[in-house]
Amino acid sequence: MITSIKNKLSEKYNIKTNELNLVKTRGGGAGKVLFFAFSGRQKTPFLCAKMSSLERYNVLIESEFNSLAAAKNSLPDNLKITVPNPLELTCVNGRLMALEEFVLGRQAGPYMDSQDLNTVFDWLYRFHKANIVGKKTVSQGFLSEVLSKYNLEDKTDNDILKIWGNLSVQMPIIKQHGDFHFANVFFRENTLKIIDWANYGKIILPAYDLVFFLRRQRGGIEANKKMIFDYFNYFSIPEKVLEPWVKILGIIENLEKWSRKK
Amino acid sequence: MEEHLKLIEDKGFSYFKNKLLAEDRNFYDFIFDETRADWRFCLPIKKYWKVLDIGAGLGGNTFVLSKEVAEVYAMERADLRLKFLSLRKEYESANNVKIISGDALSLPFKNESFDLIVANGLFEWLGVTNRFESPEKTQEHFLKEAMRVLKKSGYLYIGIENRFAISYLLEGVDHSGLRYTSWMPRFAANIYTKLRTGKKYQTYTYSKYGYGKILERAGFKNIEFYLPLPGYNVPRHIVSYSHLDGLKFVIGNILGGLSLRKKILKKLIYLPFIARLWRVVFFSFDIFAQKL
Repeated sequence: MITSIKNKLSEKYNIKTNELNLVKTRGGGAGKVLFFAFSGRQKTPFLCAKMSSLERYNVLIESEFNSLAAAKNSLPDNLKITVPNPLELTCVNGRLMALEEFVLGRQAGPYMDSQDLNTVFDWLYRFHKANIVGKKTVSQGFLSEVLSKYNLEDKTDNDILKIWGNLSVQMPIIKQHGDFHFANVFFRENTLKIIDWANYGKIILPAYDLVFFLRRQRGGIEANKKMIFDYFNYFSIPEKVLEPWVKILGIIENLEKWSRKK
Repeated sequence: MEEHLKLIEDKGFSYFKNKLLAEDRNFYDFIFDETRADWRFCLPIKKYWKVLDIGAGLGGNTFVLSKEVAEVYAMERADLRLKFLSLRKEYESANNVKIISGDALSLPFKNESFDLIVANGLFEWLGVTNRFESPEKTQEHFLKEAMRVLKKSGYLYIGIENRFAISYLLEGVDHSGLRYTSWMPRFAANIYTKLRTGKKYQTYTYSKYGYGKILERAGFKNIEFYLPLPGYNVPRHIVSYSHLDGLKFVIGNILGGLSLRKKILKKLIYLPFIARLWRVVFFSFDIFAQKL
């Protein structure tokens, strides 16, 4: 496979095959294998090739490539640079291969300082603002709709459902990144680069990305509650939604893990 | 293994799989994570290929390959593992997998039968026999057998530890069950092992140079070495042995972990000669050789 990929890239980028080197690696998601392509004596890759690990996973590669393009298009011009460029969707020996700009930079971690955290949240607000797709009245019905998507209605705490039923407030519907983990956040030359857009738009719960991110930061949600309050203010989400909302977000996250195990 | 088999027979393979996932993630990944067979991306695998997986174990490689090629022969000697393989074959409906009990030193196949032979975690154990004058001769005999049953242009894949892995000096235990034996001269390791365990030292591993020589002696060509990280059993990252910048990149940028040891390693890897030296004492190799 490595030889076939080299041949493909050699043809496409006009680099001799003997000057191409590939490093195979695995990303977070199943069914996907990543190849970082190096040219000559370059110390960093010039592109990232994402390929389905088995032919039956081709659909994942296509969907991720389309998600990346959609995410990029959703952003205003000044933010487009923060999303890697989708280059091409191609085929090698029956496998779909998505070529993407390689993102290099300082990867975020679980112990970020306040300056870096602010940079990330600033980006997140702007990204979410550009991805508001409407407003909905939050009610038990809305919650059931979200939970039924994951077949989770029966597994949800009755108390949360009860609180939810009494809320009846307007809430923005915002397309989320869907896997806003610190490992997917890079700092480069005073800007951010965000990778792994496979789940873009699949989750529309506001603050999902924020809570997902904070859960993995030092002190977790408790220590960073202010960020969540700020987020709710920014998007004009009533404060009474906060507590049940964070609880629901916790459920969805566990559910995602549960789905993957399945 | 007996417990696992009983559980599968009583409650089904699916139940066993879920229980293992919940209780022992490492063992689950060892058996079911398809990353284990990622070495396959280094080969030009074709759908019509016929593959022999020698020492198939619990099918970590076999069942991934079965989704890629026409036919996989999973050869194993241990009865319990053979039973597990049969149950797994049924569960996965892998009709193109043939499970056989056989001897790696006398392969029960006609000449030129396979496009690929897989020897993952097998080669070092072949020496544990008294049928040949030394472990090295036994391993050479195996390679000649592999050569015999391989088709022309066919590949042999060996996943194995490096004799001079730094981890064997720092904390690891050699296949002999004792520390440091792989680093000792063979005669010294033999005396030491006999004194400590009463048995000969037979689980020979080699350096890159040593593997290259023994494969060449058996007639293999186009011998290529890759560095699998963290090891050949879980090759999350695979870098060509000759691609030093790739190795530096993996260590410096994408290898996870926040331990002090990893942080130091990440800094060190960019110093001159460190990457060069490190690959010499690297933990394990993915080796590919071709019959021409």
